[in-house]
Amino acid sequence: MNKNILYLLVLLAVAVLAGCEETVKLESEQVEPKVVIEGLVTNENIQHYVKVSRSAEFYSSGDFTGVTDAVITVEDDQGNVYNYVHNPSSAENGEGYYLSEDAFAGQIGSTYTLTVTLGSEVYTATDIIKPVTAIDSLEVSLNEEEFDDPEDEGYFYEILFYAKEPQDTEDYYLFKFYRNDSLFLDTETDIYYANDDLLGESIDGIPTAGFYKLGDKARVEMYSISRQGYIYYNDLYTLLNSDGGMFSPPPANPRSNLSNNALGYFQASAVVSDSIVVE
Amino acid sequence: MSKIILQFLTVVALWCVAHQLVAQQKVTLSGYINDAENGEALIGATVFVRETQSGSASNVYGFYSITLPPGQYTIEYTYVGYQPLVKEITLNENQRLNVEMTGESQQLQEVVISGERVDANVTSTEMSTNKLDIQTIKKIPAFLGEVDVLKSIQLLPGVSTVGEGAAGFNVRGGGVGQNLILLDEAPVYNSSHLFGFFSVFNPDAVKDTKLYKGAIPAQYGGRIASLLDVRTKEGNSKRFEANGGIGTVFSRLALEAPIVKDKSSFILAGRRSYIDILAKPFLQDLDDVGLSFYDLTMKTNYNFDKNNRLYLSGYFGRDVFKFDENQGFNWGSKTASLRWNHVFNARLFSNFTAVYSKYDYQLEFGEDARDRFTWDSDVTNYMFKPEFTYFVNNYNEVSFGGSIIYYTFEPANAVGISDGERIDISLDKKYNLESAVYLSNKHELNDRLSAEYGLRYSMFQYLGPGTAYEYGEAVPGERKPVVGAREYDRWETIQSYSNLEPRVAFKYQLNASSSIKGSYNRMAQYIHLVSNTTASNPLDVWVPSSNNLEPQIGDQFALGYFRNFGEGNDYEASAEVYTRLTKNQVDYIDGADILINEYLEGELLSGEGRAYGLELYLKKNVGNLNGWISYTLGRTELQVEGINDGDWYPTRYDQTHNLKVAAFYDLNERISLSGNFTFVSGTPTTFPTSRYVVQGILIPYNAEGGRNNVRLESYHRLDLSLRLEGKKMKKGKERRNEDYWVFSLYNVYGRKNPFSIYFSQSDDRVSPGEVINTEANRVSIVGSIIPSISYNFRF
Repeated sequence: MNKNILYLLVLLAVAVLAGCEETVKLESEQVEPKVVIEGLVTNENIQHYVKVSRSAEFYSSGDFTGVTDAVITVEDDQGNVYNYVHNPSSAENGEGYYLSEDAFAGQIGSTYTLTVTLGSEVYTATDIIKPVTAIDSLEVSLNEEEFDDPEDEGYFYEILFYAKEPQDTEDYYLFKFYRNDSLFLDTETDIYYANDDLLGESIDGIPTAGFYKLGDKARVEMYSISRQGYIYYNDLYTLLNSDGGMFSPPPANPRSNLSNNALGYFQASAVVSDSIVVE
Repeated sequence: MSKIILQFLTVVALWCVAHQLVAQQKVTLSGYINDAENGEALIGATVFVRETQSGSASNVYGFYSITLPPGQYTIEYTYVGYQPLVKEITLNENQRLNVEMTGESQQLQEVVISGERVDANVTSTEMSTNKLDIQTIKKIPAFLGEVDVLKSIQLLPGVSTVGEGAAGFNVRGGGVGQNLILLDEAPVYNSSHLFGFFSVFNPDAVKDTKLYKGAIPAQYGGRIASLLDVRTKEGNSKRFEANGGIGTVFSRLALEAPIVKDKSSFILAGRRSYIDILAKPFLQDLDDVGLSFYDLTMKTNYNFDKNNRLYLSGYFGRDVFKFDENQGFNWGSKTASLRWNHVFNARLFSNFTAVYSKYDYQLEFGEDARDRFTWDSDVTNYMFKPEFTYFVNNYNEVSFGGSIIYYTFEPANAVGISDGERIDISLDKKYNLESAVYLSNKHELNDRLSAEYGLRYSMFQYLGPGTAYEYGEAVPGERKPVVGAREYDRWETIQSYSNLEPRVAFKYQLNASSSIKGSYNRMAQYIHLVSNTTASNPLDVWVPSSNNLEPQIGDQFALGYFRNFGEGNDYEASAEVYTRLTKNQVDYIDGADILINEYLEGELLSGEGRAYGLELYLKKNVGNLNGWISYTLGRTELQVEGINDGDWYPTRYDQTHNLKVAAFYDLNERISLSGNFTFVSGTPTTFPTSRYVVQGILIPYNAEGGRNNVRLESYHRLDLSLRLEGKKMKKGKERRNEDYWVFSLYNVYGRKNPFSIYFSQSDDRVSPGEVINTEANRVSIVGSIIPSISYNFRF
């Protein structure tokens, strides 16, 4: 949480002092594409996904075609092995997406290992499903400032979030907010994640991102993430929100849990969700 | 350890006394040199004995001492900008002679070429130093027409900055935190106001600034790149005087007056920026945001008798950056120094300094009292520093003394209140003791060769109470795991370091107008400034050496050729080459979290550094058109295991070419013009080479993991200003008050100089198969011409 506060500071500082910005063209270097892997295993009983693609040059205008010939398995610490198949339903935009053959629910406390074999190269990553606390409730509240001067006409309700944060464990969270079933972000580069350093036991009505109008449906998903997951999202957030200002760190590649120099992240999470209709 | 210092001092003092007993056949002329008009001590005024063709110079307190066989002498006192003073004296016994010198008035300065050579450039042993007197500084209006000490220094060879909006300055490829900045002997940990646009030194209160880029005397230590010694005025001891100005950004007022005439005086100088004027043009959406600063510099002194003088000086300044009523952050320094000059006898001068200095910042966020986050951090030190100068004879001047500094570092006193529940995430304070003893000698070996050599022995202790962590091995470049922790009690030594720091400088006079100088010095630095941002900023963290972090060591070699041209040394020129090799330079792993991090040391790396360069300097001292040109060719690199694949990489402030021109032209009695031009070749920055997509997010990627892999465009800028003096006469009578207007243009041709480059993506989220654009954006802090006016007065 303190991280987010710092970035607020950063943004404001730059807003004040950034005299002007211009798009410039840099000379691009020829670099070898790298393998990019993302995957998610949760405690929901569904077919979980893994996506494999390649990096492109900074100025490349080509699309990111998926890699379709990878052999993928996920194994838990009980010896269960789950095989993945490429785009089983032949979805239009499914190139590069792999789904587990069978639906399975990840177990809280278990460790999951992803193995992606691509030709002679093998990429692996391991993550653990940490427990997640329950969402006690969501509440709708009218934001008076926004009501007086709404940025979007009619959008002045906010969703308040209530939960109990276990104080005896070190926990990390990732949040996803949905407005009428589509992912909602205040700004395009937002990632909502937190550690519990500054969270007391009772989380009483923390507002979630954005504003809602009457009749909107709001849904909140809360994922437990491991410490390495927190580091990954934190690095990613820092990288995406660097604005070249005096408080911005130089860009650094996010620290990933994948081996063999693959990019991306393999995440194992417990997830809880709740939803509410604004009335 | 303080015992060692005491013993050392006793031994040296005894030696001085013994030496004195055998040197009785000679007599000493000593005294203070002051300005006749306002009583200010003159620093570095020359005292020359015609009969013996030997001389000396006044020290930073204006004290001089010359030892001669009894006899008749003609003594010449000279100082740049002052009328030379000649005294005939009969010296039979030790004699005290305080002199007052009269400044040449503005008009005289243009026509009178001093009858005496003021040729310190060539004749002094000092090299790699630049002295800027406040008169010169006042001719160079910096940003928004304000005179500024640090901006002026940046026009000298070997000195640079990362750009507008960067705090501090870089000397000979050193980092911002490798400069020792002293304000009346008190260390200043952040020298900038308003993110580097102005410095904390109020020009109305500053008397003298001297920058040592190399050949740093043994008296000073603790930073490896440079020493900036800023001395303030004592205050007018003859009459009341007020100086002030009303400018575009801030107003200033300085008052000085005698308390007891010729015995005691004071100066009180303050500045306050107007409410947030600087921020306004950039703030369309953020109504409540405010950025302002203020500072107060004061000093008073008392001359008890001819052998005892006391000086008390203080500084207090703060920058305030508010986002709204209850959110914002502020930072600033406080310093106080008490100095006692004691003249033991005509040849033994001493000064005892006690200093308090603190730098802190505070942040406050949150909607209300139930949801708040406050964080403050500080570095505080207490210092005691006895210093002695023994004027052995005309050929030897011995300095010795010591210093002891007690530090406390408070990295974070941080409290969050979440829904009324208080959570403390403060980190432990750290306690340290840094001490040193030194001995050095200024030695004139013969007519041609002189040398200054000395030795400094420094010690550093990391003290309890506290927890010292032990870190295990990690893949270079990754966070090191904590493998052990040990608690220490109060005053228990957790880790200690010591270093011998030899300092040598020599001058060989080729002829009356040219000389060769060389120097070597080793410096140890025990506290480190860690910054992981584009440029140095107020939140940078000072960390002390510890069981995990070794002191930085720098070895600098410099060689130079100094030459004066023209009658009366109209032109001064110098060429210097330098190399500095450093050990244990601190850098950080990619993605390091340097703020509020208990395990910060596990994220820091240390490596080697090398900096080398060539500095050329040509200065014209006299005439209607005067000024200087400085050029630096340089390179500064680091090699740290875990960064850039372990290969050498350029630092953020590596500048290949750095050209500065400062010119001043007196058009007539009332109008003078000044201009300065800066050209700096592009500095390195880190930028991605590739891109990829994860979870629909476009992510830039630096394929080689290279640090500082691209260069920004070059930086160049021209500033002009015009100074219009008020009328000297009013209704046929001479006006008592002086006033002048300064009209200035900063960035005359409105260049958008680059500060940094960052990446951005198109606004749309991508679904597979969709094309997205990646852009590189260049940020400029100042992107247009900035005109300004200020009105200044003195009465």
